[in-house]
Amino acid sequence: MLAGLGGHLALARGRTVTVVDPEAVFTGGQARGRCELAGDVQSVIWADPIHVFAMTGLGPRLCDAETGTVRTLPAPPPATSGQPWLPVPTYGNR
Amino acid sequence: MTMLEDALRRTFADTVGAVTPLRPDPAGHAITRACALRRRHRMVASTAVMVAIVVLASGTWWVRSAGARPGDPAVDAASGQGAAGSDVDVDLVSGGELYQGITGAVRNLAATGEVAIAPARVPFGYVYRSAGSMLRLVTFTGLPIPVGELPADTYAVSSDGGRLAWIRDTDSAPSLQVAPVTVAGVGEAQQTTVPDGARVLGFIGRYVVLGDGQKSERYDVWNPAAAFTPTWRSGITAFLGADNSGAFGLVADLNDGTCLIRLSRCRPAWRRRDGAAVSCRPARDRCWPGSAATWRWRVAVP
Repeated sequence: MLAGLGGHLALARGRTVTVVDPEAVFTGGQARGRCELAGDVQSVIWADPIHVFAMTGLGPRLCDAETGTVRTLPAPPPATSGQPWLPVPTYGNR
Repeated sequence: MTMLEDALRRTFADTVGAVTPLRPDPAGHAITRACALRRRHRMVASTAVMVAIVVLASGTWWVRSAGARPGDPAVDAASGQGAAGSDVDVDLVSGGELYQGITGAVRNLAATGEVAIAPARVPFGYVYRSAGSMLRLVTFTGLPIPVGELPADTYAVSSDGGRLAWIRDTDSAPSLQVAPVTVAGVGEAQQTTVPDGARVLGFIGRYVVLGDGQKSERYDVWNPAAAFTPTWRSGITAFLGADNSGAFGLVADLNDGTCLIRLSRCRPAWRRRDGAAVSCRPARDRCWPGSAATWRWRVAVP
């Protein structure tokens, strides 16, 4: 899974979200940051140029791409559709 | 006797004059109450009409209070720490429901039927598919933006939210269209035909990225300045998306690993000319077709 903002990529695999700067990583550099989440990542999306929003089996989390710290966000109310909440892709600035 | 009679009459007259009737003017009282009731009914009816107009004007959009209000603490099952979510501007979707993280409101995109609405947030609101696979636009506050009849089996939005591409499978051949999109609606579209099963995936600059929709999907790009001529390219295992800096995909490497690749605006060669698998190392390839050279970066997925 991937989301991009400001030229950075967020790659999710299992419980790990890795943030990479393609310009650096494709030329041999290191990943910009990494977050270890409590639950498996279902979907990721950029919240802002620093933070990656991840929906996990335990609820929404916010990964700080620079420090690797994880914040827990308020869970949305139960969905009447019975389907899980997934992030809405965002294009352009509001 | 006369004096006594006069006194008695005066006493009765005073008593009668002093007694207040139990129900003074019952007819007038009933009329007054009826008038008040009528006025109240008129006010209620007027309010109901105004509410109905507002609801109709806002289309099928409604808001209900969400359990999570901005600033509400949340308990992390893993860490046990609470945090506020009001500063996170991410929206969530579940079926036809839309949860706006910044406000904590849940909005309903009704009339979605059984179709996967696949909403996308753009600078002025949302794009989504409704019943009948019609594309719809609404503002953040839920006001519908007229777009006419835009049936779409698949659609994609450019990274800046300013262009929309969609495919409609018709009786003859599927039609791919691309058009600017603003708060005023969808602008004039350019269109071409595409093979059956094709789906639109995103944009690389002015090009529209397409998948052939097969199990081992192949990819291609369409330049809206000309008709689409399929030259599907295999070798990419997934198209991940695009942003302002380019588009990204996955390819298999020599050791059955996965490489992340960046796709340049000119068509890159998806794999080497001799058909050999790629390795996860930076490599320089020629664009395809054409003679212009470009860099194609590869890196192992972390």
